[in-house]
Amino acid sequence: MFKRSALTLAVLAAMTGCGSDSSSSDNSGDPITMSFKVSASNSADQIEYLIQQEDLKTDAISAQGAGYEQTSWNFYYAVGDTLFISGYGNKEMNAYQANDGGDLEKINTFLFDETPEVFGHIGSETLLATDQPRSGAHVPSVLYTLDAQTGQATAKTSYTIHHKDTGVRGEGTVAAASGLAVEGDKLFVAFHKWDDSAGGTNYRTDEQDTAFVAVYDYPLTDNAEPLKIISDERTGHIGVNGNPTNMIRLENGDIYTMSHGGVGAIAAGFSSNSETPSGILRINSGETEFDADYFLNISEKTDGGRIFWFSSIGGNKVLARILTANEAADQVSWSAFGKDFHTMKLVLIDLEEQTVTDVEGVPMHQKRWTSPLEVIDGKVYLSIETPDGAHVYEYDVATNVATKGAKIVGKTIKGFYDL
Amino acid sequence: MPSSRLSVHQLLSCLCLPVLGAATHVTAKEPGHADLETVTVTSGSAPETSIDVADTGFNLSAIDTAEFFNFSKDLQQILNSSPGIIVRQRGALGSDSELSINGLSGNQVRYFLDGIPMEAFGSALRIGDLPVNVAERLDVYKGVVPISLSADALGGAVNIITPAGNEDYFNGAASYGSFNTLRSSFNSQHSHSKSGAFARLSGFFNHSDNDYEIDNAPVTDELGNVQQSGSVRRFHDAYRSHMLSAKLGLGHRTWADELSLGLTSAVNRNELQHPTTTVNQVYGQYHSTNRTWLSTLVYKFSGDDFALTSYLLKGQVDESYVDTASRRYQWDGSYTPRSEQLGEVGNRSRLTVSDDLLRANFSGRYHLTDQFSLGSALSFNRTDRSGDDSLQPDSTLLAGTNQLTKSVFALDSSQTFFDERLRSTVFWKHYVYEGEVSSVRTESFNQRFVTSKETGSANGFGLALQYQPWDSTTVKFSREKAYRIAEPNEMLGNGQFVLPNPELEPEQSTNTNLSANYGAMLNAWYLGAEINAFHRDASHFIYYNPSEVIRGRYENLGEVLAKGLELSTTVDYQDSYSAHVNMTYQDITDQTPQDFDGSENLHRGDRIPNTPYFFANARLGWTHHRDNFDKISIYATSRFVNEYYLRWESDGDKDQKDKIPSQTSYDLELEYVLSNIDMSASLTVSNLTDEALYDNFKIQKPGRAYYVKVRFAY
Repeated sequence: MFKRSALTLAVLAAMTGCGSDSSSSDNSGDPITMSFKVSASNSADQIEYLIQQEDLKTDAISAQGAGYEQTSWNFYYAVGDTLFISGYGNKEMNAYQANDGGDLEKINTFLFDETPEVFGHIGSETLLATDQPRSGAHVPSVLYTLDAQTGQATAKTSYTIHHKDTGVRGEGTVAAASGLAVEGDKLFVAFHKWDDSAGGTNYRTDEQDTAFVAVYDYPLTDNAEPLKIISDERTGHIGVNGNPTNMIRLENGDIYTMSHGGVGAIAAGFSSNSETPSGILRINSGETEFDADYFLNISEKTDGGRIFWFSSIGGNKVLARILTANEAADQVSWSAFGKDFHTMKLVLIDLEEQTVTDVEGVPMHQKRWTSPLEVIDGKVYLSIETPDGAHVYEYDVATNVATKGAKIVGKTIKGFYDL
Repeated sequence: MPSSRLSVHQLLSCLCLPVLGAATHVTAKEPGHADLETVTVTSGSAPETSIDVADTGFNLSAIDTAEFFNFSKDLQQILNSSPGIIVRQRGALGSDSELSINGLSGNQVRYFLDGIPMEAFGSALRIGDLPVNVAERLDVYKGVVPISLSADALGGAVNIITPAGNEDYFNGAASYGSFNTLRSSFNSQHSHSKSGAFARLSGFFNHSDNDYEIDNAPVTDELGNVQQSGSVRRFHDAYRSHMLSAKLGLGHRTWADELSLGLTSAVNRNELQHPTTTVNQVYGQYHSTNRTWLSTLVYKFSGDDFALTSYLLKGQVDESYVDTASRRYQWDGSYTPRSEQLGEVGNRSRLTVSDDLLRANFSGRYHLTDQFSLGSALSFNRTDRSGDDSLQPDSTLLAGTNQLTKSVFALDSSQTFFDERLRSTVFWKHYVYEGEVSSVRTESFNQRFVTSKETGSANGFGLALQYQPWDSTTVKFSREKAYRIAEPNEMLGNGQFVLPNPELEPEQSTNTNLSANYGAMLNAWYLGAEINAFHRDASHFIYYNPSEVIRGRYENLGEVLAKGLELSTTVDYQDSYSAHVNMTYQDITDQTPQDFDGSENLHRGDRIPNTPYFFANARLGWTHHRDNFDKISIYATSRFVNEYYLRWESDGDKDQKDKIPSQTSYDLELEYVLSNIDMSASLTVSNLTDEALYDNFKIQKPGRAYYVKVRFAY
């Protein structure tokens, strides 16, 4: 890109390699690994399994008699050829790799105190993860660094993002990280402002009509404070709860952030609605400010829609889920995370060209959580849930067309991985 | 069995004797099987009232505790060796435990202390706290419960009968053993025969360091990467509880069989080593404490054809959870500091949950003829809950007042036919409940104080039939549509991790039992056998839905079908050898049509995970009577539980699935009873082979342990 020297580009390309969320690879004949969630009458019994299957077009996918059992609800994030499975209630992170025979092997278990809920990566070597202040307490955050080769934690670094302590719990705010990215020698941490209520935050989002990112020197030093906090009022808080790709770094080093915006925000887990548009901001490679000339206004481009999720599929392209306006759904807190409304459409966004194109062949659906996408032999696999059940869709990167594939005999597939 | 031939009068007089009298009486009356674990009281009667002939036909296991008096077991362990019953513990003395009867478990089973519901009596008065010597008998009703125990017992009831009687007594017992475990208890009564006045005092003291080794704790590097699993010693798991109970009363007056006033105080302190489901995290100071005060007024009267029992109970139960150490502990006892706003679990906290209990019951029975009687019962049970966290004054948890009131009105009709060969009871129970919740709710992220009140009612019916074609043989059939109204902590929350849900409906189940019992003396042999088939068709199961993972609420989510078979046999030879074996197979399946967010439930028909389905117990005894009439006995006890999966059986690669392994454990007990003074001593070796025992996934129970116990009486 014109803003940056050729030298920087070369150095960064060498440093960061290509990210797992946009990796292209040759997968001919190997099974694809999936994080599969079964159905159950009791949510506590909705177990997740790692299953492997070659054909995702016709054979129904189920965990009956097959799969590696996981504990409770987990985050799944692949870096290089390593899949990290990080417990939400269960305080451990397991790392899996495929052996020469294609079978999965657990290569490490890492026990943590503060649950990592926000993830990022550096190339195909490093997983970054950080916690969220669910206690509402004014305490430092922890950045975990894990090595993808060994699956092991290599550093645990304490740092602060933001907090406002009024002396009365519930009136102040604490910072809830929503995205992690490293570009050059800087770490970017997107965050929300949550209330600091005693006995646990109530997830009230203060100043949600502003986007916030804290910037640090990287590698991070213990007890680090932000070099600065950058903010932007063209759109709202960056990211939605739980999404591991609220802030993504493209291969060219540019960082993009997605904001749901204020219209219908309570449906997406924010505490109030407003007129703030939904949109995408950019931090250009080598910069530590939002690009003042760049704002991809999703509300305008999608006729009042709001971006709920996006994930890179290579180049300047991302696939995104747009929450379409729905009068009933928009009045219910957190409804976008539930199964009562199927109001999401899948679109292709070219971040550079600022174009938004509907993906052909995918119905309106609902999806709570998705691992970073992987491009496998030019295809991207998605779990699409509609009132008729869950199915795999195979998306062709070249044609922007998705075709309906295998039936998912269960709740959902959280991600598809080429390990 | 022989007891089936005892008249009601004989049986009552037997049961009403003081503890020791009862023990010797049983031994004398029934030589050859004094070691029976289960005495089936087929002539049906509850202990201290004469109005409970309605028990006829109920599937009642009356466990005579006398034979365990000399041994270091508590009531929980004794129940655990009965067919159809399984007690799952999360550790040793004082740890959480859950009892299941015929597949229904936890708060679906109700405990009673002399007929008074023990619900919410506090953690110092759980059944695992009660040493065997505080009880005279355990009545276990499986699935179908008589109206005299008026409560919402979905899956059955356990009634703990304490010693009572006319004569003065004083007895005490103390055991000491591994892990610095001391358990002691005493019972005493002083009475004035002329006036009928009596005073009873009883109590217990339990302590254990519970510092046993577990095998599977993770050993990590300083960052948390697991290097291996290793043995560690539990270092923050001590438990202490004590109870003192006094009763003053008058008996044998023309106007009252008993009028008494009782006062009970119980206290405990429970250190918590780790969260309930994992040993990955370690606590070094987190603990809970309990203080319970109970006062009771009891009135009993029986005339020629009319009997009345009533009680009034007032109680105050304070349960505190103390999480004040801003530290993160490791298994070696070392720690790293945490931010000062945090404790070991969450925000630093010293939460006290206080329950005010008010319970009352009036039961009457009118005998119209020798063959026909009518019974009625009216019970009232109110719990008021409030909470306070001295370290979180801004906390809104339990800031309001919450209450739950449950009332049961019940009627029955009992009749006998064919010289009492056929007995039948039909009954009706009407439940009314009212829950009131004042709590902070989040509506569109704005907190506001909301008071909501929920009322509801339900009608249950039941039938109990008993037919005795021959003296040796009894056949029973019983069936009840039973309910369980949500517990206060389910409807109202516990102020810690459980959020309120006032819309909760009662759980319901249609429970059916069919059993046949044979018992006969053949020369020097006693042979006994019992088979019991059970069926539970339950719906509206209340499941904890951890919607916020560490927090959540209880919801009506499940339908469950349980079918099972229990077999038990007893063989005794003279007064010297005894063998008792029982086994239970239960098929408990999920029948819920939809999952919790409305999709098809793909596990419909699957076995409920994390639930034992095949288990067996054996107890062999040998007794030697010495020339000086002293007695030496040796008992060998074994228990087998077949492996079961932690999660849905049909899912996942069988080789990769987490499971609770098959386990066989052995206990050895040696007893010496002196004849010239009323005293005995015993040695117990539990878990003889030092097996790694688990009732819950990866939560290991103690290895081999030794206990010595001495018991005496005047």
